[in-house]
Amino acid sequence: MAFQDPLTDCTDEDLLVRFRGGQGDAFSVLVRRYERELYGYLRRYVGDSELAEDVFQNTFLQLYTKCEQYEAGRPVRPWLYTIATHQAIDAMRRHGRHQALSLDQNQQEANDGEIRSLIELLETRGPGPIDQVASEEQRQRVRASVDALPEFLRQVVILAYYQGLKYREIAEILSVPVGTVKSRLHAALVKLQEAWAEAPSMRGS
Amino acid sequence: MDEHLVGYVLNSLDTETIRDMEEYLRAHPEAQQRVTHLRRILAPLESDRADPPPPAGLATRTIARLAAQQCQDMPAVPRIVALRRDAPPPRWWQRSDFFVAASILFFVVMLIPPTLTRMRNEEQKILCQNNLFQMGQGLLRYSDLDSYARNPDHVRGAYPHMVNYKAPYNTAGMFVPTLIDAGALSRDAISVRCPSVGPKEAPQRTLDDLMAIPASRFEQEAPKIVPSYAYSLGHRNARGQIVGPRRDDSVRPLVADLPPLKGEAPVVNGGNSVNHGGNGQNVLFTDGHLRYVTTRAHLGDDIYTNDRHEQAAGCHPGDNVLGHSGARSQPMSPVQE
Repeated sequence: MAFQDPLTDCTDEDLLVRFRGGQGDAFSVLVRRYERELYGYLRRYVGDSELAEDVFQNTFLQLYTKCEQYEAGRPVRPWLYTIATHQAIDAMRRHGRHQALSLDQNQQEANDGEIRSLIELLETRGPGPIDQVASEEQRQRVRASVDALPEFLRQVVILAYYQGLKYREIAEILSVPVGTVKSRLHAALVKLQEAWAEAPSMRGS
Repeated sequence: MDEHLVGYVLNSLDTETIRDMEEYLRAHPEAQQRVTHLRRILAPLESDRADPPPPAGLATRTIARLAAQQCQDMPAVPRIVALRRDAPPPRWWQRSDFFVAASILFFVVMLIPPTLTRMRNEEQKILCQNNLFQMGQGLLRYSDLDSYARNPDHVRGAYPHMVNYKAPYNTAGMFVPTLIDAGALSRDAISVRCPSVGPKEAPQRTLDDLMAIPASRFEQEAPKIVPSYAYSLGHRNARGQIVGPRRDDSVRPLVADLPPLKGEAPVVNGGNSVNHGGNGQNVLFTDGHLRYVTTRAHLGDDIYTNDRHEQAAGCHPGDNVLGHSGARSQPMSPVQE
């Protein structure tokens, strides 16, 4: 009969409480649980496997250091992503990979009243020629188009679409209101559609 | 509700809002069409869904780094400040002064030695943990090897296991010379003697030296290879085969302070390691983390004997056994307390 560690059945929150109570094994379970998911997020975010590994380790080091501040019951996953995102931003700055903030970021932040018009914009354009490209080329083009977004838009696309986080979790991670998350996401999708529609190799396909 | 359409398609709404949206969509078919349209627009993102796998051993390296941080975070042993010698000469004392001085002296004499002892024990415990940490680093590096010339059966992820050596050289303590031979550990990086037991002792002999010892003499030498620590004897799988420890096993003890022994056998139902005064033992786990534990039970399992109270391979995967340097995976006679 295979040996099952009972800690693997604990929630993230329970693991942190147990670790704070002196059960060192609990933190290891948390690291293993998020190994694939968090590395995948960081690899996508920073764009480099070695840097992603550094940031992954630093994230858990920070979590370990701040563990005493943890309030029992507070969701761990958004907190972990918050730390990871800050670590990723710092790492990219140190390595000169940080995109300069768009000067017109404030202007690009649509308010709630413009969300409807953004949706209509998405709908009128319809699916683009990128759909017709072979899958590896399509994957690369999609990745390139997401990477080309201003960072404040790229963050929400990655967190919402690829990491499957809720609006309010993303709002907590990025320290912005939920409305801002929505409008950034909508603006990001409009930009992506523009990029996909203009892909030169797609013309004439 | 329109502002929620994208969030609904991305499943980014909270549960209550999703419920409201579904009710809205049931009542508004044109909104359902817009959802279908939005899904088609977002479809290209799916082609980049797959995440690259993490590098092998990422979690283990992270845990090892946290263990190193834990060692650094241990409070420094405070130093006793020397008493000032330029204190003014005492004035003429009365009887009550002598009584007070005698009481103070009594308490100081009673308290200082145990305090000093505690501080010294703490320092030795931390030095022992550092020793185990270095061993752990060596073990991780060994497990990262794709091959090892001495053991054709070595696979990435496996830790040293003595069943790979011919008898009588298949003893637990051979793990240290194996690590050094494989280039995973520097001879000067560790001490095979716990700091609580004696001064630092680097591994004295190479794997070749040990293999050259005549079989008849090896039994006497084997316990001296790693005199202060115990290493995994592996466990039996469902087919009854003895398998060694692996990095990606569920977390299990890998190396620890030596158990109490009577002769060459562990004391059954005995107490903690004698290395730290019988108060506990440092344990290095397969995932690289270190802990000082005050009981020899890990999740209800005695880490120094198997379920049959033998110093031999565990009877099943949940049965962890750490044996002294001269121990082997096959049974030894237990000694009853």
